[in-house]
This record gives sequence, C-alpha cells and structure tokens, in this order.
Amino acid sequence: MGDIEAFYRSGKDRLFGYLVRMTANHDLSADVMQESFVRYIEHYGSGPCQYPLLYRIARNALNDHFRRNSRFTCMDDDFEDSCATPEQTIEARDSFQQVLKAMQMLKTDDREILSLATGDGNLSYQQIGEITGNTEANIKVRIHRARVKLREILKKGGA
Amino acid sequence: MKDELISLFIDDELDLDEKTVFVETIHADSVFTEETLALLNQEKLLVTPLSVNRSMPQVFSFKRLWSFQFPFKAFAAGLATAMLVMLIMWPGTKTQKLPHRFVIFEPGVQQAAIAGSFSRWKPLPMRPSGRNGYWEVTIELSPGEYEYSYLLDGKNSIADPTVQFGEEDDFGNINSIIRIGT
Repeated sequence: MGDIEAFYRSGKDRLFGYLVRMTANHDLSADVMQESFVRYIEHYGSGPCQYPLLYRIARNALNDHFRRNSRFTCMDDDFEDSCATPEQTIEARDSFQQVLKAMQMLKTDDREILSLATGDGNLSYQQIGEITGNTEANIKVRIHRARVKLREILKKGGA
Repeated sequence: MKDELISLFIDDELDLDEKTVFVETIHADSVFTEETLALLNQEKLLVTPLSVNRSMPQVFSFKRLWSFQFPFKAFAAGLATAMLVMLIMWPGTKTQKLPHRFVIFEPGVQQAAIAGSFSRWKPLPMRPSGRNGYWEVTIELSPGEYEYSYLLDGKNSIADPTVQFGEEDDFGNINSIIRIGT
C-alpha cells in the first residue's frame, strides 16, 4: 500500500497537468485523474508502479468520457500557479488560459503528444511512444510539429 | 531536421552529437536561436505548475489482496476462512456502532443540518437543543474516520469549529475529520 500511496502522491499532479492540457477543464481533469488511479489500483495495484501504464489508462478514461459526452467540454478559468505571488498568479493564469485555449485548437493527436511531453517530471519520448503506440523516431518529429503549430496559433491570436 | 533539435533540447532528449549540432546551429543561425527562445517561452507557459486537491481513492482489489506468494496465500486464505467462521458463529462480535453527538452553536440560523461521508453527503437535519442557539444530532457510527460539515439554512457549509482536523474539498469548503472508536 505504501508504494501505491507514494505513486499517487508523486503522480497525481503530473497526471492532472496532462489532463488539464488535454481538456482545459479542472473538474473533469480531477475526476479522470482519480478514476485512472482507481482503475490502475484495481487492476495493477499489486505490481510495480508504471507511469506509462497509468497514462494509458487515463487516456482511455478520457476517450470514454468524450465518447459518452461528445467532444464538448467547458473551459475553466480557475487555474492557479501553486507557488507565485498574487500578481504573478494573475499574470501567469491569464497566460496559461491563453495557451490552454490554443492547445484546444490543435488536433487531438498533436494536443495529446504535446500534453504528454510537457510538464513537471515529463515523460521521455520512449515512454510517450509506449503510451501512444508510436515509434520514438515518429514522436521526435510529431512533438516538434505540434509545438510549432501551437506557436502559429498563438501568433495569429487564435486563442 | 535541425528544427527538431529544438524540441529535443526542450525535452532533454539530445544525445552528445545532437548537442554539438545544436550549439553550433545556435551560434551560426539567428533565426534558429529566435525560434528556440520562442518555443522555450511557450513551454514555460505550458508547464505552469498545477496541483489537484484530491485524496487517494480507497480501492479494494482482490488482485492486490492476493498478491502474496505461496505458501502465504494458503496461510492467508485459511486464516481468513477461520476468522469468517468465528465472526459468524461468535455471538456479539458484530461491528459495534457507537453513538456520537454532534453539537454546534449557531443562534442566528433557522435550520441546521449535518452532511458527511457517513451519510453519503446527504444532509441530516439537526434539532435545536434548548433555546440558546445550540443544534444537535446523535448518529450511530461504526469505528473509523469520517469527514463532515454543517449546513446552515440549507446553503452555508461550515466546518465543525470544535474539531482541529479538516480537509479542503473540491469546492473550496473545509470538511472536519473525526475518528470514531479508533
């Protein structure tokens, strides 16, 4: 149980970050994060802790959600940087909202691959390949393309 | 191909040869440098630290329970069966519920209720205790840990001011935490 608890503590914010970048929705991300851990513990809780497996489960849970509720989700506006002054928080939140909006304009595949690559304790290209079923060489190309597309959207003020 | 080095650099995926090419390109190509800086700044926005306030889900898993190695499995199974038989046969060994009295002083409200993990967060009405603004309810609880809060006039949720421990829920409210009989 101790291992799982440590896995949860170290993994929940990372997984939540990935889900927020995918959905731009705080509550949905928190729900899917928790549901993913439930599924993981139920089926794989006795084995070694594996982040790629957890992310695959989260990806499936998210796909399940989108199938049930179509693609529509509402964006939240209550994200806060957890370690900043109030002024920095407001500025960072606005910028983050803007980039999140832009992320939602990417194709799902691009958004997913970029969401997996980004964040604290980000996943390696090899792990992202395992999660998405792509080769590492393919991941290399696609991540950069997704980053450039995101930049183009932001430059055009599309967000 | 060189452009992809920027993402490899951002994601710490460059090998030594690629690092060399990357540094050389940065020195030689100002457009490449600008692109790198722009994508780094974009990345900073994306990695805004996020945290979620959810406690670990409590999951009962037969797989996890059964993850011991034989002969521990056999021993554990035998022990569990014996304990189950004892529980069924032994008189008076049912889990003892303990009455717990919840009291709050709120003279300015018309209604008070309590909602918690013991009621699946369904509000249970409290009754006035005398005419001095105290409200009370006694609930029989099995030993364990519970979260709860008071609901005043059907809308304002507050933690129990007499209880030290609390936890913030997903809506920003603080729930009190008590342990019963443990």
